Formats: sequence, structure tokens, C-alpha cells
Amino acid sequence: MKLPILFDCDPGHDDAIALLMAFASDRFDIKAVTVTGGNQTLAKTLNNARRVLSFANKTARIAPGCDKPLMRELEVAPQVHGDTGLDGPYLPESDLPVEDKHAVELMKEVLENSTELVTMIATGPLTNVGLLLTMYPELKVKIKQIAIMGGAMIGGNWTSGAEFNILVDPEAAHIVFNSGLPIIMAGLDVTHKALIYNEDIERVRAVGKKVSTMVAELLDFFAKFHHSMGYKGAPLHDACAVAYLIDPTMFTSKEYFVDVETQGEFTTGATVVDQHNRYGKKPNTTVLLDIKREKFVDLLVELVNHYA
Amino acid sequence: MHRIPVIIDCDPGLDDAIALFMAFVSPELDIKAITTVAGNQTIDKVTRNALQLVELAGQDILVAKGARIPLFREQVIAAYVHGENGLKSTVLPEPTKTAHPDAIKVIYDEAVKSNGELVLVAVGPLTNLAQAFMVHPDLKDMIKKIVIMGGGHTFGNITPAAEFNIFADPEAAKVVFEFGIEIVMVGLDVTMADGLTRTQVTELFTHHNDVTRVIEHILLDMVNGEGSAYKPWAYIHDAMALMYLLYDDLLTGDYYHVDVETKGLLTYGKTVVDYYHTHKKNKNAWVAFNVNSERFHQALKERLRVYEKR
Repeated sequence: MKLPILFDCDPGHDDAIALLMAFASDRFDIKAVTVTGGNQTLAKTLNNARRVLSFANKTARIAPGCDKPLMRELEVAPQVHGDTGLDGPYLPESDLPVEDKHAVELMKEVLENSTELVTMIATGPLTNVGLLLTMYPELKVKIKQIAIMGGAMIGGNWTSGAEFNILVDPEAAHIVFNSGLPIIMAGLDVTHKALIYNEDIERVRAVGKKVSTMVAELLDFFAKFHHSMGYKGAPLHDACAVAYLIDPTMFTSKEYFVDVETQGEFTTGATVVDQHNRYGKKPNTTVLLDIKREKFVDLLVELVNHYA
Repeated sequence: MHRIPVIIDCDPGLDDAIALFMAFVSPELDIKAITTVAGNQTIDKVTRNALQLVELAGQDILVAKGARIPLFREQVIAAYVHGENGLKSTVLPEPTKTAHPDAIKVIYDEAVKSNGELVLVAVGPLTNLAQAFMVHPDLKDMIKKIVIMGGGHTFGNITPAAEFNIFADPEAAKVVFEFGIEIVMVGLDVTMADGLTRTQVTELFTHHNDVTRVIEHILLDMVNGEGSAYKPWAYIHDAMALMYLLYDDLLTGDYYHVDVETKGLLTYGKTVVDYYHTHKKNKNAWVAFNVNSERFHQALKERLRVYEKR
């Protein structure tokens, strides 16, 4: 049976690839794609999501969400994703229609109309998801789980204490982690092990189709930044959240209670993972810790091969 | 032999006691003084414990009493680990000596005398060091390095994010980490990576005397003493910081910038290690990440068994 999905994202190279993987998988029935500001401004991430789907000849209901975090100004990541948010491949403009409603209203409609529990995938700042949960808490009963790319049990990539997606909107993340819903956290602990090396990019390119070539070009650009930072490969962050839902056996994980710091001088946006149950609370999060990297790359290649 | 001049700043404390016992029989160290700080217990208790341990081991080392309260926050103590007297169920004879009343003066005077060679081994809250640096900023060029037991990169103990010594005085820790003297951070990443099982403790000594019995008793009190979330070992945190000075091959780690969080709701007292090098701030600390287990156990046995021959 297919998992009904709400996919919230801010493409972004790794979001774009995560989207393409999700749309290629027969595990998912993607009910809507909602977009948030993050890797770039909302106008750009919305445009990117539409261009990627159109290029891959996919359609979906799509709606823009918040253009800034709940309580803060938006911080974007042009150094990673370029001026467009998706620099690298040539992607023509898209004619994919945009819903005339806010992301939160589209998610609400999907949840209300779904007869099955819906899985949310969130690969950007959690602004839209947090707002949904705080505006319509009665809809939590329609949500099965929320698989996010964000956070880290150990360390941070945007500050020493925080990962980018959580740092951009810590208050929204706080709402999500404290929502009572089961969270799957693909944080830096696992995404920095989901490295894509140059030879992996060549495997994608060798598929030799229109979309695979575009994905290889996305990876080229994404890898260049990470190589300049001293990484041996590009951590394909967002794809981990999708890969977990397709094949959890690829991952090592542990159940922990996780909360989000919103007030720190150095740690705002830190996901505080209670590894030794100091709080005495029930776990709320499946924290992904390790990945069978080669299986992950195989899955990427297999799913990219699905496209023309 | 060149002996390293050290001051051991501590709050005994079960693991502090093991650190002191190891230090007393380490010819590599020239222990200039023991300074005490409120932490595991209140200042009067930890100072009394330091005096008692020195006398039990037959040492003639100055004990100087330090800070009674943290710089800024309300006091927290760790009676849940170290008991009401600070040494859990170990009861020692009342000390015959009294403590020097001014740890800050002792630290400064010894630093002056040591010509830049003094190493501070700080295994309690960092209140004394912060006070010393604030009163005597010239200490910056007078101390070789500071080896601390404190903090943690991968997890905390008193909270999920913070280790007790830093949590007990985060503002002081911030002063110390920002002061400019090189720091060696022996945190929970290594101090909870290895420890002694009950069997290893009971097999430590073959001959007993007053000192070995106390050491064994303290270690047995530590086995499983930090709660069921951890392996049932005696974690000898503070002693591992001391052992860093004795063995080049005990710990491996690397240099990082480390900040101390003093504003967080959940992360108050967290040592924030810039693990993925997100900023260009100076690398102010060498952070230990791995323990050579074989060396650890061999070293503990070798040092502590010296007491059998007394």
C-alpha cells in the first residue's frame, strides 16, 4: 500500500533530488508539495520545485507557504545552492499551476480529506509544518509521522551548535518536536555519512537520460561547494529522509526524546537529544545515526533511472 | 626527571579522590597545591575531604580553600552522585591541618614562581580559575595550559546537553575558555568511554592497608553510581584528566574552537565544539575524543597499586 505524503521543501539541490526520488518511488502517493523559504527565498524555492517537477514530467498540487520563519528573519544559503537556489543545470521555466491557497491550507485540505494517516516529509525549515500544527492541532490525528531532514545529535553545520534547517526556524522546530507526533530525524549524524562521491555522480550521469543528466549536474554543483569545505563527498541531506521511508533497513537509528533550543547564544536551533534519558520523557524521535552508503547510492541510481 | 609543576583544582568528590590518589604517586608531577572549589559538595565539605585525603596518603601538600559559590548562577551540588559528605559512604578521620584561606592567592603565587611552566588541572567547576583570571589578567602569560575535566561534545550528564562541572558554573567556564590559555578538554566523550567494572575494582589490590581499602571503597561506591542509563562501571572522570598529563598515548583528540553556552534554556552549560568547522574563531581547546583502553587500565593499576607497598 502506498504511503500518502505531504512533502514540504525548499529546493535546494538536495531537496530537488529528494523530490525526484520520492516521485519515482512506488512507495508514495504524494498528495501535495508545499514550499517554504530556506535554502533560498520563497519565490525562488517555489519556482525551483515547479521547474524540477515539470522537467521530470511530474505534476502535483503545489502551494507556497511562509516566506519567513515564524518569529525571525529568513536566512538563506546562496553559498551552498547559488543565486537561484538550484544553480548548475539548465532548468526551463515551468507552467505547473500553483494552488491559490497557502501551504498550510493545502496541507489542511489534504489531511481533512484523507481516509488514511498521512506521512509528512519536511526537508526545509519547519515553518509551514509548525504553523499547521499550531493552527490546526485537531489535525494531528490525521498524521502518521513526520520525517524531517534537520538537526543533529552531535555538532552543527551552520553554527557550531545548530544545523541549518532548524537554525532558520527554531521556534517552528520546537512546535514540531513537541507536537506529540512521531518524528524521524535525518540529521547531520546520518547525512554526513550519506556522502556522494565523484564516482557516484558519474554512475548517475551514466544512466544517460534527460533527468539523470540533470541530477548529475545538480550533484556537480552541490559537490563543488562541499569539496571547497574540505569534504570528500557531498552529504545528500534531504534524500536521507526519503530513503528512510522507502527502506528503513538501510539505516541505524535509536529512539530518543529530542527538544529544540530556541534561546542559546551559540546553540539556538540545536536539537537536544536526550541520549541518557535525563528528562525521563518518552522518546518522540527516531534519530537516524548511520546509513549503508552503498545501498543509498544504489537507491538513488535506481530511482533516477525511473525517469525518461 | 623534569617534573611538571601543577595545581590541582578540585571538589572531592569520589572521582576527584581517585585523581588525587594517582597524582600523589606520580613522580612526573610536582604538586604545588590543591585548591578546592564548591561543586560536588559545598566548599567546607570538599575542603575537608581534600585535607583528609592528603593526610590519609601521608602527603605534605598545601590545600587552599577556594570559591564558595558560582560566579553568577544559583549553586548546584552533586549530592546525588557524591553523597551528603562528598565521598558517599567513605568516612575519613578529621583532618589535623587547616586549609589556606585563599586559593586565588595560591594560584597566582605559584604561577609567578613557576616561570610559565605551571599547569592547572581543573576537575571541578571553573569558578576559582575564572576569579583568578579576572583578578590577575597577567596570568594569561604565566600558565602553560589548563587541563580540565569538564564538558562534553556528544552528550551531557546533569542535563542532556551539559556536563556537571560546566553546568555548575557556566559563566566561569566561559571566562576560562575565552581567556586565551590553551585548554585540554577531557570531557564525557572520553571519561564515559571507559571505566572499571565491579570485578576490576575488587581485583585491583591483592594486599590491603588503610589507603587501598579507602580507594577500593570509593571505587565500589562509584560502580553504577551515575544511574541505570549508563554501563555499570566506575567512571573515574577527574582521574582521566590527571592521567592525560602522565601518558602521551592515553587520549587522542584534536583542536577546535569551543564556546560555552550561558543563555540556552536546554543547553545552559553546554560546551559547544565547532566540530564541522563552521566558523573561523581561534582553536582554543584540544578536545579529547578517544581513549586507549589498554593504556587506561594498565595505568590505573600501575599507579594505584603503588599504595599496596606502603
